[in-house]
Amino acid sequence: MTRLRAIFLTPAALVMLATLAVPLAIVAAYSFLSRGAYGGVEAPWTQENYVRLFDPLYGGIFLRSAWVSLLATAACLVLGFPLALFIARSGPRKNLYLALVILPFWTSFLIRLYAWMFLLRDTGLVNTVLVSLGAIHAPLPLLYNQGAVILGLIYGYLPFAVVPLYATLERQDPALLDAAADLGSSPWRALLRVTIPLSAPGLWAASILVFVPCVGTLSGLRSARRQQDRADRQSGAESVHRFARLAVRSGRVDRPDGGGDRDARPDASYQGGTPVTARRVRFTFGRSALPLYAACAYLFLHLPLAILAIFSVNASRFTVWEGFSLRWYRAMFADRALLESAANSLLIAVAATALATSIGTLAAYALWKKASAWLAGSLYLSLVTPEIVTGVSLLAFFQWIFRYLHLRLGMHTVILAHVSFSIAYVVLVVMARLRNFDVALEEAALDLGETEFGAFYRVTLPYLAPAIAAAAMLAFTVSIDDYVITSLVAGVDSRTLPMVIYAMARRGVNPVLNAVSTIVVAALGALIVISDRLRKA
Amino acid sequence: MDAVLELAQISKNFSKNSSVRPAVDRVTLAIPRGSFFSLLGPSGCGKTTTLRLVAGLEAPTAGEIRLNGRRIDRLPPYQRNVNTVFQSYALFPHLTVRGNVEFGLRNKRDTPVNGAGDRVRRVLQQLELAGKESRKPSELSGGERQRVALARALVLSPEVLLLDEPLSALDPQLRKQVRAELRDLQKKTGVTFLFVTHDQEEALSLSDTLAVMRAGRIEQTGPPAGLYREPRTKFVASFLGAMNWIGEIGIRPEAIRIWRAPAPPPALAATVVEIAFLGPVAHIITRLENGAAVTVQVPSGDSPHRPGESVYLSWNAADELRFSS
Repeated sequence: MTRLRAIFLTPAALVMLATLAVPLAIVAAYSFLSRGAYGGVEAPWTQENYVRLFDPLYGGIFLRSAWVSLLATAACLVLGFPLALFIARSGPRKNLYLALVILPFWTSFLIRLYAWMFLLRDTGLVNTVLVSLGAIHAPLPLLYNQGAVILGLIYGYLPFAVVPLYATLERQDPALLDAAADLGSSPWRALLRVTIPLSAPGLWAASILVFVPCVGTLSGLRSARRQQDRADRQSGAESVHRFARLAVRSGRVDRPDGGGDRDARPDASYQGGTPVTARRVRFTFGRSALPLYAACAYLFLHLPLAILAIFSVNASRFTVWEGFSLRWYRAMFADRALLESAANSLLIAVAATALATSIGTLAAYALWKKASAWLAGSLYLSLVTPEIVTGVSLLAFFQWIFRYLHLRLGMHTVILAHVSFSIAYVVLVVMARLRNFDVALEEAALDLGETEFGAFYRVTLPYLAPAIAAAAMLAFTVSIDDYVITSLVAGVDSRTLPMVIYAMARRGVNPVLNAVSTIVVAALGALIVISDRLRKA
Repeated sequence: MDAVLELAQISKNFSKNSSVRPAVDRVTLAIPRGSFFSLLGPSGCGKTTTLRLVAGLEAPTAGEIRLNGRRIDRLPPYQRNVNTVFQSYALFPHLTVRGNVEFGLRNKRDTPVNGAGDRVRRVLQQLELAGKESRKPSELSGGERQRVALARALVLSPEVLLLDEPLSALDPQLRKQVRAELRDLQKKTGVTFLFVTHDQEEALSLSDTLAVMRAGRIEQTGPPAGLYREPRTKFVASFLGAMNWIGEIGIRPEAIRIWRAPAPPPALAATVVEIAFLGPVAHIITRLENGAAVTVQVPSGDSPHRPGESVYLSWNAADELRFSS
């Protein structure tokens, strides 16, 4: 039993050690070194970098980031709670409604960012419509201000609030609401005195899940500029800087990079919640207000991408409808760089998915046999580490190790990085299914003469098949969508689709990008739907 | 009779399709004030739905519910002066025993706070929960939880206390003890209890009045002894206590006498199949010549019969139960 477990655990432990623990240790060590004359790091040891951290300039950034994150977190809780309540009380359709919250966030964050640019910039759809209606004379400055940053954070992290809130609300015994009504509580009082107090764990989880990545992305992007100086300069690293600038040209607060949106994905495990009791809770407030609110929330979540899709078949280059045309799709297929990067992305995603799925499945099984605080801890750490930190530390690690091995950044480093951050998702999805696995089935197999490996291979693995397929789909979407980490560890020959999309977005709104976005969203959406079907099978 | 609660032709159909049998079908009941009234029936017969209709947790499709003569069937649950002890107890896990008991009082604006404190203390004492006020439901035993559920409802002095299988979550040993306590509590408080159960023993031993339900309808209402002795339908006869069916005639196991020698007609010849020892009594399971099984109840001390033995069965004609249908 223990030998099989050790063998299963080893690959994941090695990957996490090499791609998480060691790189983070290197970054920690670098943080005590001085800046070198040529961009590298050199002796002597110094705490100067930490002193600079408390410099009013940096302290101010952190305080501002914390304040904006706090506002965004509060907004996410207030906006997310009614939506979670609606989903939890919508009976047999609740899985569908939950998927609708999560779906747009499994699609490329770059494209989501771009969708908002498309709507809000000076010549964007909102301003164009308002001007043409004569409501305003000059375009409103909708982008590049604190309001836009908070809007972006809410848009990016609302599912992080909704999913844990839904998970607690869904578990609440409907009999408690019956009891509250029976004891004289009006629906509003029952909400205040029963539903909300009982949601405390979910509210905490939601606050942390929203606040931490908000702070991480806001301050992380700023600090990244410093870190970059320490790690040897790479063309890819440069783009992080630019990405941050693109996001917030006003420079007041850094725009979220959506980096944390990977964190939403493990929530897939929540989806498989217990089936709905066919119980109708009546006499609850807002029989029409709640669905109405939910409809608005869904519009907020889905409309930006839908508008992008509509304008991808617009004949005009500008935000004016001039009739249906596929010219942007034709232009897309004529773009060699674009197609090459798409091929690279596919190759990387397939390789990383295969590796991460195998390693992660074995690790999940081993962890299910017996918990390992070290491995579980490092997997969670890899989930919550901001992408920028992961990327920079991996880059520092590769630079350091390449001094001894004569290698260069390229496809292999990208694949290794993708395997590193996908394993945790695979483990989470597979573990979720193992939780419902009856140990007696394996014991029966052993009793009937199977070896431990035989029992795993002939009994447990077939049972896990749907979860493994779902995990693979998830790893694939995570991999094909990644920008920040990839751009840091990619070499000249390994530009991926998100990197090209980003470069295009940097040059401004381009209708070809609308077409690319639509195809990517549709393809990833289809993958997610398929993986969801598989998981339920 | 002074009825505190009346149900008149109450129906509840969960499906919009009228061809689907309603869960509750034209139920008419009058619950006497201060009585212990039980609704007895197999699972799925509509007894819990009936209770939820009274509580206001479901809205009736048709019919009227009157509390003290006032119609309440259109009122939301929080405006009805009836309270429920839920089957799972539905104690609020985030509140202490005291918090749970005070929950309803805090919703009533007309209750002065200091008077309420006395009431809470009295109810907690009555239910032997004194000293456990600051515990959370998760720190209580099954019996204690049940008492908190009772205290939480009783502290509001409901016109009718609705109990939805409150004993089913307890282990059998405790159940008998709590059953007696429940009966005492009802007598002491004088509150009308409407008790729902599928356990005929519970219903027979606790109730002043009993209504047997089947498939959404009331089969028969009356005092337990009356229903046992004079069941109006075959269903009631079978559901309350054991019943032998010999042709269309029903005879209770305790009404049959068993003989070794041929007894005078209308005795029937039978063969002993099995003897089941039940403590104070034993059941002798016999088979008639036509193959029907007949159970005879005898004191367990004197059972000289052995399986395979030929016996004769007889009974008094007065003990025969006949049903037209």
